[in-house]
Amino acid sequence: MKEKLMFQNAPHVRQSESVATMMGDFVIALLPIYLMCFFYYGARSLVLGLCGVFFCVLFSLIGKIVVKERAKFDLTPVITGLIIPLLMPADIPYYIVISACAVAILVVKVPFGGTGNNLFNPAAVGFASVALCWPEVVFRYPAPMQVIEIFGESTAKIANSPAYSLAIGAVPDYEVLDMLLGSVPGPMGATNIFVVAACGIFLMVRKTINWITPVSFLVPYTLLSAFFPRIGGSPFDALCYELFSGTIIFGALFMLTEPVTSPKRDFGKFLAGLSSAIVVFLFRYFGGLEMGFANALILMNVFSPVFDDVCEEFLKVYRHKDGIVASFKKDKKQKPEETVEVNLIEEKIETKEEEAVK
Amino acid sequence: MSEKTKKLSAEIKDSLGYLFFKNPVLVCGLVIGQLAAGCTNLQNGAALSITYLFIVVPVLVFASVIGKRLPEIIKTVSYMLVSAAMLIPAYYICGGFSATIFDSAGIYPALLAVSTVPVVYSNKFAEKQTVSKAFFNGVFLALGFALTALILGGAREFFGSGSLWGYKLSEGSFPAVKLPFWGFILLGFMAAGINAVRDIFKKPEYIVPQNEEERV
Amino acid sequence: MSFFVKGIILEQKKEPMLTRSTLVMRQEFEYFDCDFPDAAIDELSAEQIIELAKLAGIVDESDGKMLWEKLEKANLGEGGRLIIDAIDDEPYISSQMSLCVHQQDKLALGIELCEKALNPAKTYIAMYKHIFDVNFSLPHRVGKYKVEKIGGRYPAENRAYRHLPKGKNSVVIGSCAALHLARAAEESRKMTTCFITVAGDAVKNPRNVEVPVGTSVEKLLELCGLTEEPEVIVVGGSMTGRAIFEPENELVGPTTRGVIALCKSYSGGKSYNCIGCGRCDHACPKALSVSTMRKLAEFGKYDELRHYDAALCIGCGACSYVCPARIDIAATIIKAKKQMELAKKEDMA
Repeated sequence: MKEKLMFQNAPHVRQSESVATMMGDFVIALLPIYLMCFFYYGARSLVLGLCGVFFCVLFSLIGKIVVKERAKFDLTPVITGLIIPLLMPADIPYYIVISACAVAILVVKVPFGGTGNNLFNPAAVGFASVALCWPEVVFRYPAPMQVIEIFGESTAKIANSPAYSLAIGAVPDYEVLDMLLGSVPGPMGATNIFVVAACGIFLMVRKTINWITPVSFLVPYTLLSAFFPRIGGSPFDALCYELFSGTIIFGALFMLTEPVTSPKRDFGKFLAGLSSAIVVFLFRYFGGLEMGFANALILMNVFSPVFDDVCEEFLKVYRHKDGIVASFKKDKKQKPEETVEVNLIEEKIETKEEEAVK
Repeated sequence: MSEKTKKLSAEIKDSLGYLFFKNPVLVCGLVIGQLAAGCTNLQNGAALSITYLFIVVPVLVFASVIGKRLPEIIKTVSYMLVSAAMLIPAYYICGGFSATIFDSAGIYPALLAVSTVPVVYSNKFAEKQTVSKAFFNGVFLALGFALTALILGGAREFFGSGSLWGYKLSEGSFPAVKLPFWGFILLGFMAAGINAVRDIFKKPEYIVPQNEEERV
Repeated sequence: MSFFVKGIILEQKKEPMLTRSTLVMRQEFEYFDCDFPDAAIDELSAEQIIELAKLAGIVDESDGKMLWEKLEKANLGEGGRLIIDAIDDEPYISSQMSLCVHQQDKLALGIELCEKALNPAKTYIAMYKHIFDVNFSLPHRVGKYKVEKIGGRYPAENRAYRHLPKGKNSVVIGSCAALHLARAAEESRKMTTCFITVAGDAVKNPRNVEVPVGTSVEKLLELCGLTEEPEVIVVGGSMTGRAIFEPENELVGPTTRGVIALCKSYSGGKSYNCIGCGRCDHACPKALSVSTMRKLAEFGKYDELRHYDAALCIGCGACSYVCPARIDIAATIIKAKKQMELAKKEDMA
C-alpha cells in the first residue's frame, strides 16, 4: 500500500465537469447546424467543415511542437475549425477556409501561448482577415436549396443576402419566416436562426456558456435597431431584418461567449455584452462592410481585461464593506469584525491540521 | 598605428551586433510602427532605409562631438533639428533611384526623424562615446534597419502584388499582406525567427519554472 | 451581492455511510469514579455536569477545546443560544450527522445536559440542507430539539458561524461531545473513542466507525476493507484534509473527522491550460479574483497579489473544486500567501 501512495493538494474531490466535457458540448452544439447546411447546400458544407477541423488541428499540433507547449491537447482547435466555415458562403473555395484556419491558429493562438492565452477570438480574426483579402468571394452568397459541387468551381446561382441589402439601404425582399428557417442566402451556418438558437439554449442549459452574455448583447441590439432603423417601414420589420441577417445570433451565442476572450465575472460579461451591442450597431449603421460583427468582436476583445478591472474595483468595496461602514460610523469597536472572523476560520483549519499532525 | 586599428576593430565588433542579434527593429523594437505601416513594397523599404541612414549617422556623430557642451534645455531640440534637416539630402538621394519612391512611402520617412534613436539614444549613450564609435554605431544601426526593411518590403510586395521593385513576377495572391496589421504580424514572426536562431547559438540564461515539481 | 459571489453546492456523496449504523470497534471502555454516583440524571446541577465533563475528559470535536472549559467559561446572558454542530457540509464526511439519525435518544439526553449547564433561551441542532442523495428524509427533531437546516453554498460551516448572533451570546458544541456527555452521566464512562467516517471509492465497506483515540489509519482501513490499493489516503475533511504517506504511523484523534481512500490521484500528469471560464471567481466565498491571483502567484508577483486582497483567502478549496481544467488553484494561492507573510516578517525584522 505504501509504495503506491501519491501526494495530492487539498480538495480531494473535484467537479465531474472538465475542459473536455465543456468543449465536447460546444462540438455537439455545432453539429446540428452542419446538418441544416447539408439540407440546404448539399455535401460540400460537410466537406468544408471537415477541412476546417483537419487543418486547425494540424496547425495547432505543428504549433505545439514548435512552441514546446506542455499542456494537454484539447478540443478548442476543433471548435475554431467548425465555426470558421459556418461564417462563410457554402461555395467558398477551400484555400480560403484553409488560410482562415492558418491565420486563426498560427497567428492568433499559438504565438500568444496556445489555449487560454489568446488575446482575440481566433475564429473572428481568421474570418476577418480572409474577408479583407477576398471580399468579393467571401460576401458572394449562393441561393439556398441547391446542391453545390463538392470539388471544382462552383456554378451555383448567386443571390443578394439580406445583410447586403441592408448595407446598401434597401429593404430585403424575404419573408421573416424564411429568415428564421434559413432559406435565404447568407453565411451557411448563421441563417437558420431556429437551429442556432436551439443549440445556444442547449449550451446555456448545460451551463457551458453563461446566459448573461448573449442576453445582454441581444436585448440592447434589438432595442437599438428598433429605434434607429436603417430602412423604412415599421420598427418591427427593421428589428427582424437587423437581428436575423448576417451573423448576429450565431456570433452572440458561439463567438461572443468564448470563455478565453470574454470577461470573467457576470457583471463584466454584462458590460461587455452591452458595449459590444453598441459597437456592432455602430459598425453596421455607419460601416460599409457586411462583416460588422467580427470586426466589432475583435475590437471588444481588447477591452475585456478593462471590464474585469472595473469589477475588481466594485469587489474591493464589497470585501472591505464592514471596515468602510465602521470608519463612517467612527465606532472603533466594530472595526475589527472582519479580521476576527477570518482569524476564527483560519484558526479552525490550523487546529485541524495540528491535530492531524499529532 | 596598430593600437588604433585594434581599437577601431573592437569598436566595429561592438557595433556589429546591431546588424542581427541586436537588430534595432526586431530585437530592440525601435521603429515598428513606421515599418509596419509604411514599408509595403521594396521601394518603400529602400527609401526608408536610406532616410534612416541619413538621419541616424549625423545625429549620433553630432551628439558625440558637441553633445556635452550643449545646455540641457536645447539638447534634444537640436538633435531633432539635425535629424529633420537631414531629410532633405535623403529626399534628393532617393530621387536619384526613382522619382516617386520617397513620396510613395508617405509620411513615414518623415516620422523616422522623430523616432527613438535621435530623441533618446543620442541623449543617453552617444554623448559618452567617441566619434568613431558613434559613427560605427549609426552605420550598423542603419544597416540592421535596412536589412529588416528590405526583407519585409520584399516579402510584402511579392506576396501582395506578385512583383519585386515594380517588375511583375507572378500573380498577387494575398493582397491583405499590404495592410498594416499584417506588417505587425510579419515583424513579429521575424522577431521570433531571430530569437529561435539566437537560442541555437546561446544556452538560455533563465529556466522556466516547472509547476508540476513545485507543488506545495 | 449574489451577483458577484455565487458559491458552489458540492456533491455530497454521503449515501452508504449515513444509512448504515455506526460500527463500533471492539475495545475495553474506561470508567471514572465520581462523588455523586447515585444522583439521578434529571436532578444533576450545572456544576455537577461540568464536573462530569471534566472527569470524562471530553474534547469538543468541532474546535478541539475541552468541553468543561467551554461550559464553564460560557456566560450566556439574555437570549443566549446553544447550537449543536452537526453541519457536515464536506462531501463524504457524516460522522456528526449520523448521530442525529441513529443515536437520537442518547444525543437528546446529552443536549439536555448541556442545556442544563448553560441555561440558554434557545437550543437547536444545525445540519446542512442541500443533501440530495440520501434515500430517507433527515430528521426534523431530535428528542424535543429542533433541527435547523442550514442552507447556502460551500463552505456552509463558516457561513453558519458568520450568521451567529454577535458577542458571547452563543455557544457551539459538537454533537459527538454531547453524546459523550450523555454516556458520562449514564454510565460514568470516559471519553476514549472518536467518531470517524471511512469512505472513498477504494473502500469496500464505507461506514461511520467509533474507534479508540490513537488508532492508526491502516487499522481503520483494515476494519472497513479495501477494494483495491489506494493512490491517495486523506486524513481530515475531503476538502481541506491532507494526503499522508505512512498510514501505519498516522493516528486519529478526537478532531479527526474522516479518513478517505481514493483510487486515483488528481495530481500528476499533464493538465489542461486555464481557459478563463471564470468559475473560480464566482465560487470564491470571499469574492476574490481567483483567476487573476493564480496567474500572479504562479509568476511570483507578490506585490500585485496584495492589491487583490490575497490575505483574505481562507483556503477552503472551492476554486480547485470547480476548475474544469483541474488546476491546483487553492494550493498555488496558499503557497503564495505563505511566502507573502514570510516576506512581510522579514521586512519587519
